[in-house]
Amino acid sequence: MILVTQVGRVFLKFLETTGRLSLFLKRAILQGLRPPYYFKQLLRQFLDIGYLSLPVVGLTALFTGMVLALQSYTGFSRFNAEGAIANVVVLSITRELGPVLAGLMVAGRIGAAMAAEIGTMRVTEQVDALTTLSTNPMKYLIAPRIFAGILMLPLLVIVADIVGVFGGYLVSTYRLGFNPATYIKQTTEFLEAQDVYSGLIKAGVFGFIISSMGCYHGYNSKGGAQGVGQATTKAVVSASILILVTNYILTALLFER
Amino acid sequence: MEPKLSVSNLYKSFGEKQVLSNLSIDVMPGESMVIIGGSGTGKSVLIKCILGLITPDSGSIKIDGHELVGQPMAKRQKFLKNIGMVFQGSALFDSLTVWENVAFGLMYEKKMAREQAKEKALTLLATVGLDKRVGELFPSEISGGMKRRVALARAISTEPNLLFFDEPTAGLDPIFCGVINTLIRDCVKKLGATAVTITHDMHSARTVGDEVAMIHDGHIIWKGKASKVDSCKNPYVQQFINGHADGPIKLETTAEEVA
Ligand SMILES: Nc1ncnc2c1ncn2[C@@H]1O[C@H](COP(=O)(O)OP(=O)(O)OP(=O)(O)O)[C@@H](O)[C@H]1O
Ligand SMILES: [Mg+2]
Repeated sequence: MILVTQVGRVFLKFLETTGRLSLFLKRAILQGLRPPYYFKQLLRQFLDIGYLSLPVVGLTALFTGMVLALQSYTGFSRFNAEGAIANVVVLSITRELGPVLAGLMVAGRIGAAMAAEIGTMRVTEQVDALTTLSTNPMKYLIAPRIFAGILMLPLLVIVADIVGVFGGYLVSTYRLGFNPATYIKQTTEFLEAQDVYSGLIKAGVFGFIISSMGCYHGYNSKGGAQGVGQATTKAVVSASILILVTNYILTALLFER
Repeated sequence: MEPKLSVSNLYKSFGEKQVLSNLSIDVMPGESMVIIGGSGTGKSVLIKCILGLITPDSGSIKIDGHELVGQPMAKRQKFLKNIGMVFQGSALFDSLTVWENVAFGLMYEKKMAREQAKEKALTLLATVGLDKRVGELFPSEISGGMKRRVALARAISTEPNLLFFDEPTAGLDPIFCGVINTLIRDCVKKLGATAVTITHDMHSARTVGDEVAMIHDGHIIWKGKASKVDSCKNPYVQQFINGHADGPIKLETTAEEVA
């Protein structure tokens, strides 16, 4: 009996949060689309999410591409399928690992920062102060972050794709003795446009998830430093889990024929 | 004459705790109202209800005769343009420099050009006794008392006609208390604004206020001319202004009880 009520309570809590979150996002997006626009805020977010995440995302992609080539070589050489390495690298990077790993890294970097910044503003009454200066916090704080998230993640993933493939190329040519020209030919031969753009669609969705979680948890943080800390944790954990779940759903939708 | 601000039968509780109960107060245009009352009696909550930052449980809040309770944000926005507020904790934007804080309303609300807004911000900072160099610092680099003064400059930058000050002089030395009190007075007398000031400091209350209201147990228990506070017979007011430990106002817990 206790178990049933517990499950029921958790389920209700889940519904409640989903409802609140949808209302929050609806308000942020609808109000953000109407003037006045805060271009400076948007630009700052472009820099923060896009430009300043380049090193993290680049490094992650580089080593992922490298290890992919190395691992598939050990596996594939057992049945003389080394020719497929280039293919495995480019497909896994563009379709899955590029968007997912970039998403997870940015969730850690940006989702946490957003929750901490907005959360601190909330508990120190800066969000209230915005309102009394007749500036809508939804337009000034939330909307720029959400729009920047949606736009910047695909750009980051394009970079991740290129760097990741380059990582595979480095290992294959310098370490595994592949002919550079052949490797590049094998990379491009079977690659379809859909492989790349499906990854970019995923990236856009992940960007939305990261910003939404960061903003929502930050905006609703309570108490003091502890509340902000909790908001930060929640933002990163929920964004990461949502990214992994959504990735599965999107893969199923995008590649189902 | 219609009151500038009219609060009637306001109720607000947080969970079990009833903070405001049946609170009513009117503030006339061009009047300076001072609200006094013990710590935790709901003074800040009252102001936040008026500003729409906290939703009251029931009751009515009118500005210039327009009902605010239950109105959507877009409607309130129109009134907020003419309201200035100094928060108890200053609430400066810590990602912006001091002058950008002061110029915030000028740039975003009044659409003033950056250079022009900066000039006006620096003038405002000068009136609260802060010089140009302070303008370039970030809020984390200035003292608590300086923050209060910056917050005040920010609140009056757009020349609103309804001003709220939540303990504007707390944490200031006596000289700057005087400066701030004069400034609030000037806003009311020279600009014709209506002001509501919360304070614990009876000296400020007497200099700043035309009217004084005392809040206790969630509602206004005494209201009258600032000049009459000292001679009033209300035991609550007497205890408060004289700072006696004995009297009708009881501390929620005392050391003896805990021990
Ligand atoms: N967001 C909130 N959630 C729960 N309780 C709150 C909240 N805000 C205020 N309270 C409670 O309401 C009561 C009144 O708080 P308020 O901040 O208005 O006091 P105050 O009169 O401004 O006191 P002080 O003079 O110390 O600033 C307090 O008991 C406080 O615990
Ligand atoms: Mg207070």
